[in-house]
Parts: sequence; structure tokens; C-alpha cells
Amino acid sequence: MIALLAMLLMAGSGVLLLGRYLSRRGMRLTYRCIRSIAEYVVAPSAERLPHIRSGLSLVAFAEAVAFVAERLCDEADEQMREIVRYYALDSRLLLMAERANSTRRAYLLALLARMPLDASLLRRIEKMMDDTDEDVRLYALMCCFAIDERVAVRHLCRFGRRLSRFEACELLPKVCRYADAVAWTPLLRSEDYNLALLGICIVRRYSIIESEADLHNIIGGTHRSLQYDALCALAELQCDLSTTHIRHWIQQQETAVRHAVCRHLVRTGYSLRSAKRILGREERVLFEQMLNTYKRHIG
Amino acid sequence: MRAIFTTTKQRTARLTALRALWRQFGCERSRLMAISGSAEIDAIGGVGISVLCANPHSAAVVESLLDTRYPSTEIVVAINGDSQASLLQQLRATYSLVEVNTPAQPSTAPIRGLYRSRRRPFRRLMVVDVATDDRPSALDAAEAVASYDALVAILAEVTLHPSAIGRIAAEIACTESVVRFPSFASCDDELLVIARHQIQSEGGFAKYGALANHPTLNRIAEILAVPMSENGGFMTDERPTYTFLNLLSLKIMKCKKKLLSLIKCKT
Repeated sequence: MIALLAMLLMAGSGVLLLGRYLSRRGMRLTYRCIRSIAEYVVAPSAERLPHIRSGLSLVAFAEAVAFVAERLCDEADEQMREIVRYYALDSRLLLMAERANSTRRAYLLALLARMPLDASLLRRIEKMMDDTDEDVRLYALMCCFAIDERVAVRHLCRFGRRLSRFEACELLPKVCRYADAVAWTPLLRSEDYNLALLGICIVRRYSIIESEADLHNIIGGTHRSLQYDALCALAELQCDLSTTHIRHWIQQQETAVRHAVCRHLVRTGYSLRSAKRILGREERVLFEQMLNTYKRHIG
Repeated sequence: MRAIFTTTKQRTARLTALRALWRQFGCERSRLMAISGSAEIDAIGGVGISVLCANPHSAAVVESLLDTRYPSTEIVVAINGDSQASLLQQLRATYSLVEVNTPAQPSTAPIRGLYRSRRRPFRRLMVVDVATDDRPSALDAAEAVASYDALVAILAEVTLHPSAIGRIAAEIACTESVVRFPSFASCDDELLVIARHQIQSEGGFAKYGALANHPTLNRIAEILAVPMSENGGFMTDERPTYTFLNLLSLKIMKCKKKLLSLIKCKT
């Protein structure tokens, strides 16, 4: 029996070493592909592009393309589209995704969402919006955003569950196309939770001071879980928080949330005088103590 | 094989190992987070993290913590100014630290001094001079001066990958509330990620006890599935690449420990 266990351990170690070798090989390939893609972006020439043979190489190359496309933020869109067209990367990856299981499918869709896609793939990607796996639906939605925003916003409204903050931040570059924020007002005023969360993320990312009134409305609105985010966004915009409904909202919260608001106000640079108009007595003491830790000790 | 697992205890141990293995195969979602770039650009959902480090053995540990790519991070290092006077002097010189006012004192560890950096690149660093060598008490002192709601307490001598804090922030941002999120820990109990209100309600790190006493605590390695380095720490120099064999090798590595413990059960 011990011999059997020893054989299993040896076999496992062999697989471990092989796995590490293939992983490092895949990573080296990805880094080489990143270099080739960067050279192609600077001076487009078909000779600079590597030759892709196997499926493993294709995924490694797709990782490299996604890596470069995400960091370029749509700057070299034409060159990236040529690369994707040259290898038929989008259709090949989508075919692999359709044949894969849930997590692998989500991973391939995540890679697809980061590169420029052809509009002809929209129908096939929309079918994956009905997948049972949440991650597949999210990354299929990201792919839809990469192709057509109007279709994607419709899918977002029918997403079926609330987005988390992480997922909203993942969608943000696709919604904004790495450029200035667009159409944030309808998002903030929307009754839909996902659209409102996306709107708050846009406001925080781009520091949109004009959204102050809409954020105040969210604090007085129905989405309780968004009220804290809206208050934090107002604090980051250095808005006046000494309104009655904000004071009333803070006093209604539990201790952990009140203290979190207090710490947030210190970090965003509110003075003690402003904080006294916003916070209760207990939080004022905490605020003053925290504020003093930014001041040099004399004596 | 049947001869090994005869007692109920050994059968339970085998089932536990199999369940752990099944969880390993099931939890691959975090692989998707490995390719997320949002953690390096902006605070995910406004999540801020205070990394608490107590009694580091060298300045290199502090330097590695400052390499964190996640923007909304604060590094709080608690040092005993008596036993680690040279390290404190070294940090003060390297990062141009100046003494600032101290806040309310925690009950477990009096704070002798608090230092912040005058230089903008190191504005995330805070050094606390505490009068204790006990790690949980020093962590309590670090918690008293930290300013974010999510705390990452480093409980062992490990260095973090620059993307580690971003990954943790992404996990927190996936929960319902960024103030009251469920705590989790690393697989080998080197890191504890906990909400501030929870550690305060428990009475501090000194009273929180060993992580093994909290069976409902989720384990980070099972969630994040990051390849562990040889020293077993939450540290890697490799960018995780999704290959089936890589995942399988990771699972076998985890399974090895379970198999070795089963062999010990038999003997």
C-alpha cells in the first residue's frame, strides 16, 4: 500500500513538474508575443508577427493581445484589429469558448472582451448571455460592450442579478471606451440598480462634480446599498455634506458604517469645522483624533 | 487500500481530503481575476486596504509591501523601538519619517510614537513604535492607527506579490458591503483579511485567537488559487497562466499534504 502511495506521489510530482514547465513555457511565449505585438504596433509589418501553431500557443498569443490592447486603451485600434483579423483570433477563440466548460469559457470570453471584436460575432456572443454560469454572462456582456453599446445596455438591464462593485469596475473601461465619461446622467437617474452603480463608478473614476445633485438623490432614494457609495463619491468630490438628509442618514446607520464614513471624511481632506456640521458627537472625537495623526508632533 | 482506512477517524480524514480536493477543482473563478487590470488603475469599488505588519525582520519586508500596485493601500508597520532600534532608525532615514501625534491608545499595546513620511512616494507608509514584541498586541496598535476599513494582517514572515493586495481588494469588492464583508485567511494562515468592525468586536488580534479556531473562515488560496512559492508564502514571481496542467499540479501539491497526513494516520 505504501508502495502504491509512493507511486502516486511520484506520478503527481511528475505532473507537477510538467505543469510548471508548460506554465513557464506558456508565459515565456506570452512575453515574446507581447514584444512582437508591440513592435508591430510601432512599425506594422507581417514579418514581425509570430507563427501560431497549437491551441496552447493561440491562448498564450490571445493573452498577449489582450494585455497590449488593454494597456493601449484603444490608441492603436487599427493595428490591433489587423492583428486580430490576420489570425482570425476572435472567431477561433469564440469557437474554443463555445466548446469549453463554464470557467474556461468565461476565461476565453474575458480575453475576447479585451481585444477589438468583429460585429458579426455579436449573435453568437448574445447566446452566451443565457448561460447558467454568472462569470460567463458577465464576460459575454463585456464582449457585447466591446462590439455595440446599445445592445449591451439592454442586456445589462436584463442581467438578472445585481452587479458587484468589482464587476462594475470591470465593465467601466468598456462603457467609457477608455475616454471621458459619457451619458452618466441617465445612469445615475435610472431606477435600475446596475445602471445606477455603473453611474456612481463613472462619477468616482472621472471626478464629475456636476453629478452632485443626482448623488444626493441616490442617498435619499430606494437603493440602500448604493447610498454609502454615493456618500463616498460626494466626499471624494469635496461637496458640501452638511445637508439635513445626509446628517439624518449618517445618524441612522450602525456604528461600523458611521465610523467608516468618519474615516473616509478624514482621508478625503475635510476639515474639523466641516466635519462638526456633518457628524455626531462620538464621530467628531474619532475624527479629531484621526486628523491629529496627520499633524506633526510638537513637544 | 481498504486496510488503511479502517477506523471511523481515518475514513473521516479521507473524506475531508476528498472534499478539499473537490473544492480545489471547483474554485477556479479567481483565475479570472488574475487577468483583471482594474486593480492596478483605481480603487475597486472604493475599497481601501490597510496592510498591518508587526515586527518585520528587515527593511526589505517594508520595501516589498510598498511595492503594492493597488492604489488605495496603506502600510502600517509596528516595531518595538527597544528591541528593533536599528531597524526603526533605518526606516526613519530611508523614508524620511517624522513623528506625528498619536491617537487613542489600544489597551493591549501602548504606542510610544507614530511616524509618517514627508516624501510623497511613501505617503502610504506609517510606522508605529510599540512597547511590545508580541505580534498580536503589535497588530492591535497598528489597527488603532490604520485608516481603512479592510485590514490585511500579516501573521508570518512572508513577502507579498505586488498584485496580491489588488486581488484581495477584488475579492472584497465582490461582497455585498465593503464595510461588513466576511473575513478570510490564507491557506497556511499567513494572512488574515478582516473587517475593522469585526476585529474590534472580537476584542483585537490578541483575543481573536489562532485562525485554526475559526473553522468558518474561508481560505484565500482556495479562492485565489495563486501558485505558492517553495517557502509556502503568499508570494510568487510568476503571472498566473491558465493551463489545465498548471491547475492540476497545484491541486496535486495541495493533495500531497493531505496524503502525507493520511499516511501518518495509518502509522
